Amino acid sequence: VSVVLAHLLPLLAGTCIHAALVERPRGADGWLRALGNGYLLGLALVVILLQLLRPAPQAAFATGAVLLALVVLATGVLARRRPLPVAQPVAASGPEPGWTRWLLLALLAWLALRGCSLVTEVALRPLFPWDAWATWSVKAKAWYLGNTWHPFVGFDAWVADPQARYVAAWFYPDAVPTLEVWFASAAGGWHVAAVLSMWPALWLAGLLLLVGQVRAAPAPWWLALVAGFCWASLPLVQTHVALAGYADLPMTVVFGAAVLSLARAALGHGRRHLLLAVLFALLLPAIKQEGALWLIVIAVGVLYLLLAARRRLRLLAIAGALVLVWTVLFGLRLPLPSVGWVEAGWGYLRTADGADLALAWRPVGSQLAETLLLAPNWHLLWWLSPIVLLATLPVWRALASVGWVMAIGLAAIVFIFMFSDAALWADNLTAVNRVLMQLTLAWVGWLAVLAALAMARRDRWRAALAAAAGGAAT
Amino acid sequence: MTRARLLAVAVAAWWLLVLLAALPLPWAPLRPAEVVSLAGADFVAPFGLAQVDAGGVHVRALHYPNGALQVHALPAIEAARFPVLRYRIDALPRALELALVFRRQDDPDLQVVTIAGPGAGAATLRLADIPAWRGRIVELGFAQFPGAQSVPPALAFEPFTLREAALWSPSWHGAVAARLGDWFGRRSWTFLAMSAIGPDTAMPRGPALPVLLAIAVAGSVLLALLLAGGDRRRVARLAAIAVAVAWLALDLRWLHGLQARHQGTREIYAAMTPIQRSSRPADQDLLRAALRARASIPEGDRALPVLVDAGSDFQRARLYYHLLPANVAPLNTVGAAALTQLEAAILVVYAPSRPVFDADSGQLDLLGVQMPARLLMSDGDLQVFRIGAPGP
Repeated sequence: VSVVLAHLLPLLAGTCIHAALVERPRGADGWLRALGNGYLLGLALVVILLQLLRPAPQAAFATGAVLLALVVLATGVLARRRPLPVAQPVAASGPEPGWTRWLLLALLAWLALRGCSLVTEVALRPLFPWDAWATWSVKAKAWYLGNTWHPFVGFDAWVADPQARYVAAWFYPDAVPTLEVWFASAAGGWHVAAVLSMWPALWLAGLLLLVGQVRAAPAPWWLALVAGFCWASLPLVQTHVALAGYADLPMTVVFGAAVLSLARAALGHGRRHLLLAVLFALLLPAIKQEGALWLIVIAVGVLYLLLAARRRLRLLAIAGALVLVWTVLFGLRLPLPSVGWVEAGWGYLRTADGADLALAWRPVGSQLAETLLLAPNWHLLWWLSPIVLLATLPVWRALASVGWVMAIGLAAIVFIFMFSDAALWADNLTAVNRVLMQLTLAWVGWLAVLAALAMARRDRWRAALAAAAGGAAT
Repeated sequence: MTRARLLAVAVAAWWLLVLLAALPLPWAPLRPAEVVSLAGADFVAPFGLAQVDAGGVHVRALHYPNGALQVHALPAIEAARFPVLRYRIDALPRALELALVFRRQDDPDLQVVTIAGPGAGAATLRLADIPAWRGRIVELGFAQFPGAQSVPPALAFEPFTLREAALWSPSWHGAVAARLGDWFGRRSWTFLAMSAIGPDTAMPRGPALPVLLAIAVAGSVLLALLLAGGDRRRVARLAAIAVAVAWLALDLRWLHGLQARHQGTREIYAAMTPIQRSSRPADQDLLRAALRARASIPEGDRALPVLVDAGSDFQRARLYYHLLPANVAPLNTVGAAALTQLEAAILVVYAPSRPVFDADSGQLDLLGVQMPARLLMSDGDLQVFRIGAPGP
């Protein structure tokens, strides 16, 4: 029961925060958005509370539960006072077709079948994937069983401080292990199934917020449901749910939530969505180191949206060119959250934790193509993406900020895996897929919103043509 | 024929053509012209406790750590003439990996290829996809072993029976069955599955299904453009249906694989309580070693740093995890010299090759670094030392 509460309390708190500060839910799709985004906000709140207050790890749930209950009360009252949003505009493509109900039923059945397998796999199998027990759960297990928030440090500091602890990836961010402590303390012991129960919940949250946000575009239900099905059925995503413990799925869902909120802001649904996008983006470096890169990428999209429409492209192009020229000529040294100081220059990239990447072309194009198009990781996602993008070309401008985020994100992945020593992980088809996965929720959502906009545009044209024909006949 | 019917027939024909293209032998006879039957009773079992009778090879226990092996001598048959293997193993536990083993006349080394586990009834494998399947084959058999690092060896086994096997010459029957076996064969979870599905097993593979379905969808759209008479709505509808069918086909295949993997997990863990499950990870021997090492550390030394070394990265990392919440560090990362920087520490070594310890002088030689030490325990591959000055 307490593990269920450990999920419900953040869900309630986050949903109330979302309702109070961003959008009071109205209708089924409004609730999907609120619950999906709310679960993420609630988990973020848990991390912030535990990291700030530092209760004894074994008492983390007892302390946090009381505080979350207070947050639910306070934000629940605030949410009640917020006016309901205007009714969801009907998707411009007209009323829902009759088969939408059957699609919804089929999706629910599919979800129940799939969800049962995934949840029971997580419940039954002891912690399995390598990095889950070698990296992400190490801090959590040491903190929880030691009942102390031992600092994890580098070797020299470890030798000097008997309270400190050492793990090879000591510099990795703490959000995921902190959440593992939360669920372990709710379970009253280091019970792996309880600790890992967050991963199926995150998968579900990603599905809910994707369907809800796409629907708000506005898109017809069938399109939002199909988008949700496409993402949630991706084999690599499901593998990360079934073999829970890696930080890539949390990253995927939070990055997707940030980009889809940015899309809402770009569609003129209000600055609150922009703030939510910024909040989610700020969480990214706390999950995994590459979150710092995704934070910069989303910052470009936010800047694009905030700058005056007439000059923004020119301004961003000039800024980008200046950064590039400066980096090539003089080298660039930047502090990045959760990564530390990063030095970049012509032919090299160095990070504070000792990574020294030589930047030069690596011939791994065929491996990238194989993993995107031939391997069973992605179904037909990367085959269909160019077609959807081509078909929605006339409406790109409406979501240009998100388009830039996705383009720069994809370009960054290609650059990292084709122009640095990270090519090894593309060659052996390992990290490249996991990093690509982090884009998928946002990517599918972006394509679906573009499709909704293109359909709406087509219908407007049809209506205008029909009106013109009617006028001519009169 | 109406335009719509013509389009439907053309698209159906196109999908059939694409599926047929996935089969490597479209001009072969329906049934194999030549069959080399290998009766279960004619196999021998060099490893594993097995009983051979007219019903086949009944494997009753695995030989640790090699698993079980059943082989059948062959009269130097020509590999190219028999590109398909048909085999039937009843009640093979899902937690066991299955490998095909064979020996060529020109190479004394045994070739070992992991293959899909059979479901109910016979399974079929396209041998022509295996690069080493060439020349003349003098021996063929099957090996079974617990999945490396994914299942507890002691829990993975249930008795099973190798009934029969047969080598087939090219045929439609064999080609279709082998392709279905390739697409829907039973696989297990592996570490690489977190990064890539497909290359996570070393099994031989034929044409990638996503490519075939993408070609089928593209052709359907082209046909619609040609035959729909400029009706864009009909083209869009047909494209949507083609994409949906292709996506669902891929998803059903994935779901089938997911269920099979999940069933393997259920077979081992479903009947256990959560506490039993947590005490039965795939590496039970390492968990036991960690518990023994922890028990050997005197009460007064429990707060000391613990350095871990082992024979492989997996063993070292798992011992590290099992020893938590001790103040533990892997020796390979911090280096042997690190021990000299610490006033006192515990060293846990789990490896067949031991560090040189002179009990008389109390000196330990670890990778060329000398340090005073005391042996706390030595049990099989496990040794625990206290490094540094004697404790209080």
